[in-house]
Amino acid sequence: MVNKKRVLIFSILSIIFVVMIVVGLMKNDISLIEQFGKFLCLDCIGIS
Amino acid sequence: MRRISQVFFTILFNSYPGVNPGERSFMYQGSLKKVCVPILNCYSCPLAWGSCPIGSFQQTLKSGIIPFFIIGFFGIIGMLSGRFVCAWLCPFGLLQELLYKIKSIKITIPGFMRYFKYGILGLTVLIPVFWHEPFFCKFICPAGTGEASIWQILMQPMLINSIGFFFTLKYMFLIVFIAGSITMKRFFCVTLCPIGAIYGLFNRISLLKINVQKDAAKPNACTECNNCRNHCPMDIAIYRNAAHFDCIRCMKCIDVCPNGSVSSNIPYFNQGQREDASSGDISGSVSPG
Repeated sequence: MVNKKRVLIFSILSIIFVVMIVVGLMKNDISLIEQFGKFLCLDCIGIS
Repeated sequence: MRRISQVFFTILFNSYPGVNPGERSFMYQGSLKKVCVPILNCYSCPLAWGSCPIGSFQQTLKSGIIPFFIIGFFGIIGMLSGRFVCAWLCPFGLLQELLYKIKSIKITIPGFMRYFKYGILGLTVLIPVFWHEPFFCKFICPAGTGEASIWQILMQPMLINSIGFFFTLKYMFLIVFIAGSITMKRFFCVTLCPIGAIYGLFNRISLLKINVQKDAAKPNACTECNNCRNHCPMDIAIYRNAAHFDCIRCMKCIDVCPNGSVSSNIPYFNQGQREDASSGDISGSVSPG
């Protein structure tokens, strides 16, 4: 029973996360990540 | 094997060779920065190829956009393996394990401090939303200080003119991090890492699992000898909770258990089980090597 419950939770969460990735790709989150990554993060190096 | 994996991924994620004085920026700026690495690795490090997921997460939130892709990314990694990446991929985990090898007074982290990282995770989400500041990167992240700040300032000395309060704060925290890592097992991972906090939430339901034989009728039943805890890099007693949110799936407990009571549902990781333990009647999912 516990296993069935776990499988159900696992399946639901997997679907949710895959949908989130697809939505993120459609919203072009990847380009946003690229923009943040390409430039020196002043907050990260303690200058702001 | 795990150490080889840690070194391999540290080099894989941080091997950009193009640092040269002719560049305006001393970091990789190519299209691979679209890719988030699954662990803490500052994207401003001069050697980094990929982007930091928690940095990108905060910057996206700060811009008023919901980071669907990164939430999904964290979720899928967590669903597959829980905190496995903390043990096998994270360069920061490797650094802490090496620092802990330095001979010094060793301190056990009090249990309640394990929950601090969920407070940090809460602030990492809320502060970018309401105050538009990347809380974790700005105030805490020792990866940004150690991997990026030192080297960027050495290569671009004019940055020294801009240093102020936050710079001092971050370097003070770096000192605390180093001292903590020398005296406590994976101090940062246990108490502060928001990425570990996220992955830890999935340990209970992830595909990769650790099993402990608790049935006293079985010859390989756990005797609670605590050998697993003594060797655990996160200082947890796996026999109390095999899905503990701080278990990083390093598989050390499988290797050191004298009875062969601990096993993984992935047979490959059971190869390290002690031969004397595996020569008996091993039940369930255990596959002696």
